[in-house]
Amino acid sequence: MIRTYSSKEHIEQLNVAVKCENVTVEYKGRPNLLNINMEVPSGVLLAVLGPNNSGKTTLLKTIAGVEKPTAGNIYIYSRPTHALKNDVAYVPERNHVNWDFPINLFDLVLMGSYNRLRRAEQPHKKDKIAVKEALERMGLEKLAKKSICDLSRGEKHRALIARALVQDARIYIMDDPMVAADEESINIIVEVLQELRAKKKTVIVSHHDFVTIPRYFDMVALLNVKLLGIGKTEDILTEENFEKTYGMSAGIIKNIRLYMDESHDRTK
Amino acid sequence: MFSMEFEIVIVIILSAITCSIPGAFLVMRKNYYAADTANRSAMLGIAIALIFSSFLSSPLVIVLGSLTAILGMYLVKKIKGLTHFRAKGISIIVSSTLLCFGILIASNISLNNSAEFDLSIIYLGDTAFTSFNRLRIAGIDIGSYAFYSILIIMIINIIIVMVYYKEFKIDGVDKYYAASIEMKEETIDFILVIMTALSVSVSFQTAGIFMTSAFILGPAAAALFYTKRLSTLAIVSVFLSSIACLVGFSIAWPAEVSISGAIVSFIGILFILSVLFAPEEGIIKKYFDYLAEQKKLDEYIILDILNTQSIDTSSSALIERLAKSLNWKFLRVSYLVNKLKADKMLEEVNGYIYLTLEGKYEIDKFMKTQNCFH
Amino acid sequence: MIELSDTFIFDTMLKSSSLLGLSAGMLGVVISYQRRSIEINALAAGSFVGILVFYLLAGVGIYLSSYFSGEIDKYVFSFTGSIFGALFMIILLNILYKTDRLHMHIIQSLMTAVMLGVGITLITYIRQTGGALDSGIEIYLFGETTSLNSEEFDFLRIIAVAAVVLLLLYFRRLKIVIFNKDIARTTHFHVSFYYTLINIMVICLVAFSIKIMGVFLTVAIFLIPAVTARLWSNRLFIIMILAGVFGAVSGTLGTIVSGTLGNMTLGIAITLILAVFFLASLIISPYKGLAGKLIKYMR
Repeated sequence: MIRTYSSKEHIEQLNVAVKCENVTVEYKGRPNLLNINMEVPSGVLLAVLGPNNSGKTTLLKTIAGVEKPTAGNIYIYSRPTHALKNDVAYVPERNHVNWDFPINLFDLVLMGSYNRLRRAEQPHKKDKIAVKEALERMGLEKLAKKSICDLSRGEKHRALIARALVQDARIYIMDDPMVAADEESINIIVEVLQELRAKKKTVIVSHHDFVTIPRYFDMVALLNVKLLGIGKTEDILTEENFEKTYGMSAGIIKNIRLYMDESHDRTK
Repeated sequence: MFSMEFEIVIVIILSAITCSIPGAFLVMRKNYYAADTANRSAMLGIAIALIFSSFLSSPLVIVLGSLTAILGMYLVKKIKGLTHFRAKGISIIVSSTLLCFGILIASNISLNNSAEFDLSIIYLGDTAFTSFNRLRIAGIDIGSYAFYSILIIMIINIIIVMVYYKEFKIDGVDKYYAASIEMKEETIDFILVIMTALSVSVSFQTAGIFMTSAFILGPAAAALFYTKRLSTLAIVSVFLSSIACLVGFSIAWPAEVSISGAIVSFIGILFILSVLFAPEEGIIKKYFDYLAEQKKLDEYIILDILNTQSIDTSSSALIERLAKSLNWKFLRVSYLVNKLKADKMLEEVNGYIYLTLEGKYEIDKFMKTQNCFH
Repeated sequence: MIELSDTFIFDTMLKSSSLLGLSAGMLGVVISYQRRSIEINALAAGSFVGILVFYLLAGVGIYLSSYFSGEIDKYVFSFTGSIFGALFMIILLNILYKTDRLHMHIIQSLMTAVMLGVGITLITYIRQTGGALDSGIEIYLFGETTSLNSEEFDFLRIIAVAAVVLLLLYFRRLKIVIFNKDIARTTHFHVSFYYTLINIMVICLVAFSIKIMGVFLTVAIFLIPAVTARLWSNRLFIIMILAGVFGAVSGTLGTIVSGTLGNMTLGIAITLILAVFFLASLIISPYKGLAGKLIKYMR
């Protein structure tokens, strides 16, 4: 287990957004996650990396409170998950959503405000304004009246994120928000992620494309049923770690290091 | 020629086998709405045919019945292409509409035409009735008409299966491969539809039109719990349907209740029993497997914590600490730790609990199997 | 055949079938987006068997009660029978769904046919033992025009109105629950509560609709309005209202048609009218129908 917290970060650790303690989640007798211990500081962009079936989705769902862990505790701002209200906004994976559902984009995004409403209460004006803002932010304001089944792949991702933005939570959990999306959508999503960090929100994202990781994220967690490492991006993205996670001798990592150095130089 | 009972049993076994042949492929292909659509749509054709002909196993009934069944499937496909709705919903609409027309026509014949049979035979089926229409060649009685018509359809079904067996097999295993060698899915669909339609419109006279879908799906669905191979599946489902026929008949005949009803009920019992108690795939077996694996997993969780995490392992504090961090009950953890000690995975030295070499070996082995690319 | 002047029965039937159409149409939208529409078939068959079993029990009950006091109303038996039958079916199906060898639709359509088989065996048995029991059990196969008495009508009125009110009251939450379970859970709704609520409504309405529509056509009044309404709109609320309207209108028209024509049972009349609605919508709907396609093509 690699833990890389410097002394300065140790102070930040006091302000922990998500804390997993020995979390195990099983499915049909097999562990999807085994003894996950991690702490995510507040106000951080965290990418969860791992091969398919490594439990990325399960980890995100468990943190969001969708699935109950078989063993272990999860604390969100030092409160157990079942006690929280409106602290977590969850963005499901695109193909886990029924896109044939007959609602238009505006309704979908408005769903983000429903947890603030009582049973028969109608959405208020400020909710609708929030929806409009979120749509504008995601560049979807022209599509508001469109049925959700007519959206393109990238637009679907953006729509789901807009719904989460309306929820206005402290922690955002997004399951693969950039997979197979177009360039424009990825740019907008990355911008929104940066804005969320600027607002001191914590964002946990599962991610496929590890070439782009260094540019976007502060922290990386490597997952393959067990947590193989969590920490600052450049400390975690090592050859040794990738071999452990993906089970391949990653010559590709060298390219990534090169790429990282280049982009580092460019920023200087 | 033979006794009446024997003839009835033969006819009903033949019709069950006829139905279960397409069933085996329908179940594998997940073409689930085909059976229901076919039998409800076939009602229309059968009703129309009965205007012209007054007995149930005439070729006209079979031809018109299968034609409307195919028409129903075709309509489902067309409307699906037009609206992009799910086939299931459209199949319900099409089949219930055709069914309504069929019932209307059928009830009007019974009003106008003094037909010699009760029309409820179409819905309920009456096996005893099939032996009334005799086939005579040169004045010699050579058996019931129904027997020959069912036999012919069964032979047709078997021939179709023999000819297209390879295609069915490839299609069931790998759709993309099937597409890559330019084998159209539609042709296989069409063949299956024809087989289903023929079987429905010939065996409704014994089974009753709505229960044909139990004849089609039931044996195959039950057989699926005993085998994974396509050829064995077909054979096992034929075998199961024959057994269901024999048992159902021997219960229903003396009690004078509906034979097809009893057979279908028995198929249902067979199916439920297979789902619950099948030796490999049954729910209960799977559940006990799951419980055993869960127990094992509980032990591995504790072993893994001791293996990888540097925590205070003094035996007095350990159990309490584990119980708290795992969110488990104290008793559960202490039971597990004691069990692991008894299995020599853990040992206690000077009041501290350590992993033994065996335990370390065990957990390493487990971790290797759980890694997602193994 | 009933005369139109025979107003009381006709009035009851008119009201009950339009109420049933309204509530079943609205509930059908929810069910079809839960992808359980074939399950209705199985529930109807299960509730048919429930009625028959309770007929048998009622035979025993009436026999026993003659020793004690008074009579047991056989409508009570048939109604509880249908509720218990549907409940039993839902439980059985949920056990069978646990297997991963079979697609759930195969289980549903197989169990429908099996339950019909059980029902038909019981019918022949009841007929054979005969005696004090009703001979008109076959009305449950295709529905009958005069099948509800006034107490049952009162029941139906309460349940249908309750279903409509609940669906409207919980509309927004149901929308999230059927759209995506995970999102519903993270917004801290009790998903299982809404599932149970839907199941209870379905069981009650199926129990009534097999008397009006018949076993085989029950699924029609739940599903066809929902699909038809989908042809007209892409917003869930409008679809739900439209489906209710389609159901209610076809219930009313169906009662009138079947009352005037005589040789058409209520279930068949309602289904055919629903089918006409569907076909008309398919042709003229500007949103998804042929007309809409034509307009797009012209442009």
